[in-house]
Amino acid sequence: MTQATSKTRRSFLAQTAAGASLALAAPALAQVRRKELIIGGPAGMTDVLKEDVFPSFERKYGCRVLFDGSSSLENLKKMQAVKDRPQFSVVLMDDPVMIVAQDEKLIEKIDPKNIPNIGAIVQNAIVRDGWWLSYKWPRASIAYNSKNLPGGTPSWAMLWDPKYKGKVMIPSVRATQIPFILAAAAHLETGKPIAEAQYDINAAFKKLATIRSNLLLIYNGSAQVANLIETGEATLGAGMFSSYTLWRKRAGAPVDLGYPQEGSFAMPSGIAKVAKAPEPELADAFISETLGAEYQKVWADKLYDTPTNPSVTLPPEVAAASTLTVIDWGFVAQNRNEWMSRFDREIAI
Amino acid sequence: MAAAGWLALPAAAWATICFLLPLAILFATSFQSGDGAPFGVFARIFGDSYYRDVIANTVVYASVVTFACLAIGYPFALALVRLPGWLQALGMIAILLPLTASAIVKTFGWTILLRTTGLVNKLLMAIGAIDAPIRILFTLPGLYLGTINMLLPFMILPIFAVMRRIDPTLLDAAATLRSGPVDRFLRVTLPLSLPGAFAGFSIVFSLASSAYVIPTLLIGERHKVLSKVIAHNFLVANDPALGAGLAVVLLIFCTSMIALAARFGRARKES
Repeated sequence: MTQATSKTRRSFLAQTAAGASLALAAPALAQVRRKELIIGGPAGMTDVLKEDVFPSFERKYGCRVLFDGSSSLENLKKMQAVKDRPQFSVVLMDDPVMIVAQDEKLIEKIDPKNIPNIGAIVQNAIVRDGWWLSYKWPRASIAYNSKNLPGGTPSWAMLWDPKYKGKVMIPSVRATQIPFILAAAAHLETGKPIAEAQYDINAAFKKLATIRSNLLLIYNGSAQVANLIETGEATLGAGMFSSYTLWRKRAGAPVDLGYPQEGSFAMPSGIAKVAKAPEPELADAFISETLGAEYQKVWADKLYDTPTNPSVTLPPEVAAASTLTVIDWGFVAQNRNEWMSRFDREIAI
Repeated sequence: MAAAGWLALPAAAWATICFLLPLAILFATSFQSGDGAPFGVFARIFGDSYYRDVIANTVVYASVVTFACLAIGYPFALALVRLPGWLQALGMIAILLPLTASAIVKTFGWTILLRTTGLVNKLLMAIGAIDAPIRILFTLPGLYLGTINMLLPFMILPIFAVMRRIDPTLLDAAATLRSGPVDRFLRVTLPLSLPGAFAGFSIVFSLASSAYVIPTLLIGERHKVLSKVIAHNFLVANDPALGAGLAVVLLIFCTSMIALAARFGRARKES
């Protein structure tokens, strides 16, 4: 009995030793495996990235790309949680969240020497002296039901037209899109150009308070807005993005994104290298490739977003965009808490 | 006896970790206002007409839903208990089956039913109540309709459970004493079924006053209730003291209503 036990113990020790040596050898084995680049980005881009971007990048650089698709805010929280041992090498996030990531040193400044394609993008796509880059500019405007409104949306003032009582949707103060409707409202109230009017918040709230009788919904998510417009329950959805609206139009849904005469908004989509990023060379290579003509065409053709590389031929939906105003997200970040309180008391009632 | 006491230890530990401790943290957080005053958050809540309106909205919403559920649920349970076996089983399936679907799925279902092209508008037009479709989605009537439908089983089930236990010979005895049907209901069935009604009242009232998903999806931001403002303060505004203060107000409000219902139930029983 004792002998049997002893044998078992011996074999157990042998197995443990074998297991331990395997564990010690694991890093070496991992090096033989292909390098992995982990990217955090918007969930809505998952399909396009996995079909049109990652396969060719993996072939070109002999690596494997893993994508964690969620909201910019969620990815920021993940970065904050593992600040000293980051998982992501590259993050794709909206500018308002990038500002926080920069303030908390979660991203590192782009080194132009390592990004060969940086010269191909327009100058104002290099944000905050190169802390991150805008790889595309989704367009935000007014989504509408094209069956009920064959003439489109020639002006932001349509949202206030009593003809559309109970048929208008505006973003919540908690949604990313809130500055667009505030800037458009301030422009209509003051007559100043939108880029200038965005700072006149009192005028914005004064005008926005008069939209209440037209409201069907103050929305938080774009999917619900698109659905309500397509079914005809709503007619106008302010602040909707090109990527959410135009792919539905191409699929045959009665929805389109308007070109108001006052202009539309650009919502810069940023790409940044994570501070202390694993696989830093691959991270630089990926950032550079997103600015090159091949992937810039993907953003325009598949997502209907305006590329920041002007060499790309634009599809008609993107080419027709009127003036694109870029919101001052730093100003938004400074004032959003105060706006939330005002919005809840003056608009969402 | 001592052994039996030890057996309760896991449950007691569970209750302490999952309920008592979070409650203690909640109360402690609500007293951490920035200005140093221990009741600062509560002064902020009750001194601001916005929060008073939110509390009033919650009280009205929960009360309307609860009394409507009682008005529909009580006669439903009474009819259900008197149905023959297979019909009763069918009725029970009709009540229990929707409980297997999540509140989010059911609420989304209601957003389709309440559209201008939805079933509710079609039914109203078919019975001649309206000539053209009306807007119900994202309105208060739509919110009430959806909430009442979703919380109705929680009113019917406790009333039904109590009514089933009423001895039928009591009604026979009352009949032999020349008591009419209305009299039998008022003097026998109603008093004996009240504990079920009070239980249903407490459950539905608690669920309605703390409902988050239903009002968020069925009416959105234009009807503020405590649950939504609490979530906003914790998740967006980063003001946990105010969020905790509002949660304490909701808790006290719910507990008081349940205690009142229980007290009323006991008083009725004793009388």
